[in-house]
Amino acid sequence: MYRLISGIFLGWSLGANNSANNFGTAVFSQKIRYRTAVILCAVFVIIGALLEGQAGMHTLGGLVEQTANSAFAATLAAALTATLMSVLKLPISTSQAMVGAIIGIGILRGEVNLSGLTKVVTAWAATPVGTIVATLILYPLVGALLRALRLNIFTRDLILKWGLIIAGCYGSYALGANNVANVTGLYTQTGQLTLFQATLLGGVSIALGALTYSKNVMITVGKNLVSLDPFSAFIAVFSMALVVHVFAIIGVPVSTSQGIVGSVLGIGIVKGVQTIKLRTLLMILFGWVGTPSIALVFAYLIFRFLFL
Amino acid sequence: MLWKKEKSIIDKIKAYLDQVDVCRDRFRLCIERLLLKPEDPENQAILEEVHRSESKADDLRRTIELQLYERALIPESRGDVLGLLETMDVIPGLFQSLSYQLFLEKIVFPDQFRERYLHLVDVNIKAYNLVRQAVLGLFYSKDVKDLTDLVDAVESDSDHMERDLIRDIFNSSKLDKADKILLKEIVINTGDISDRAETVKDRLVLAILKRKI
Repeated sequence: MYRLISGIFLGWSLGANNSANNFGTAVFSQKIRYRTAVILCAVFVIIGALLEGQAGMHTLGGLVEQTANSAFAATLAAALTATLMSVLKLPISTSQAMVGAIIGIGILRGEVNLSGLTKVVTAWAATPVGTIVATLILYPLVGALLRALRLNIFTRDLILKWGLIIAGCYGSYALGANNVANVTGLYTQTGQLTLFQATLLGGVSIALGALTYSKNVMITVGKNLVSLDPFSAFIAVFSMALVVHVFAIIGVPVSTSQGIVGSVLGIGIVKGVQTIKLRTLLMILFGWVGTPSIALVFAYLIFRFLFL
Repeated sequence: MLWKKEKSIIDKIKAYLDQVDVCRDRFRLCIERLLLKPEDPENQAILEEVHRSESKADDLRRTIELQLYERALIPESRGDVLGLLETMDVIPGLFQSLSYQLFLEKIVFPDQFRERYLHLVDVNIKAYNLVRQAVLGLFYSKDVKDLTDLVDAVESDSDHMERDLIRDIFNSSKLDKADKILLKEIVINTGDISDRAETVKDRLVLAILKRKI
């Protein structure tokens, strides 16, 4: 059972970092207290993982045949990559780290399911594109609805406050549903955990990360996103949640961080302003290549030296 | 419950603006009497009424501010409403200080300027009336663009009238230098009402722009 520790570690690290995308704006703009935000985040992550977290587990499991040792090595490699990227202050995509780690072990064992890999990589690129498209559709649509309602200042601000909180809860749900496969997905394939146990353990470990160590990242993300007005921030978070949720249903773990960058880019397109720095876009490109590559090398080394 | 506290604040803001209206009406009456019957002993009582109505408006504003903080409204609404009220609250203060200035300094407008000065007072009151309506519109979901444009136009009218009046006061051969300076001060202080109305309007427009989709 010690092999599960790497999964819990990965889940904790994921929760500590990615919950910021859901509630950063609401917390930083004082619409909700940090404590309340992380509790909501934790609850909805667990619900999302339990209700819709199973589809992604089949996808990750399908990339390479897993054993208890390979599952441990891949998850540990992904967790180490996530930690390294955190230390380097680079955006983390545990989905990309996990896929890199799985392929690293696959290469070592000479077995990688390329058709499954194509699905995953296509989804990575489709995430920011999807959130841009969702933003381009939702912004004018919801905006027209709000204008038609002719709300007074208090009602309007109150609706947006609750909108941000609901979008944050939905984002947390989507995070749990989509990313729990990264955390404990491989253990279901090896038979160490049932699907229910995997979604519960994965969801709880992500929730623990959100509860115990998400404050700093939340403030950083909030500071960047809060330059958006509350309506734009609501659309950005909601679009991200929607797209990540769709990928959870399809069964492909994707990055919420890259989803939110796409949303913010979309807001920039709608409003005709530059919302994202070139550096952030380069980070995404690096995430697509660098994160899986580093995880691949870690997984290769861990599996080779510990289990071969 | 969710909407009750917002409604309560809107009701109080309406009550505050009604109180400023009382102050405005007392101010208008006071100025007219001080111009037409400067020695009338009843002027003191009307002056007191201006003072009392200004104090009441001030008390109401403080109550609203406390309620805005205590009832945990979201920061955007709170900041904008507080800013608007604080900027607006200078106007009843101007009504009061102008009334006292005329009374205490025993300023007498010469006949040829009296009507023009009263007209300037009315134009400045009009600027207040317009911005008052616009501020209220923010809380009652009204389109206030036409009103804010009018505030600009009225403020500009007031500026022209002030300049013309000051020029004519200083061209007058019947007044000595000291009187001219006193009258100029009164004219400028009266114009401050529309200047302040314009500042309130600017804050209002910013609050609306911040929420524009």
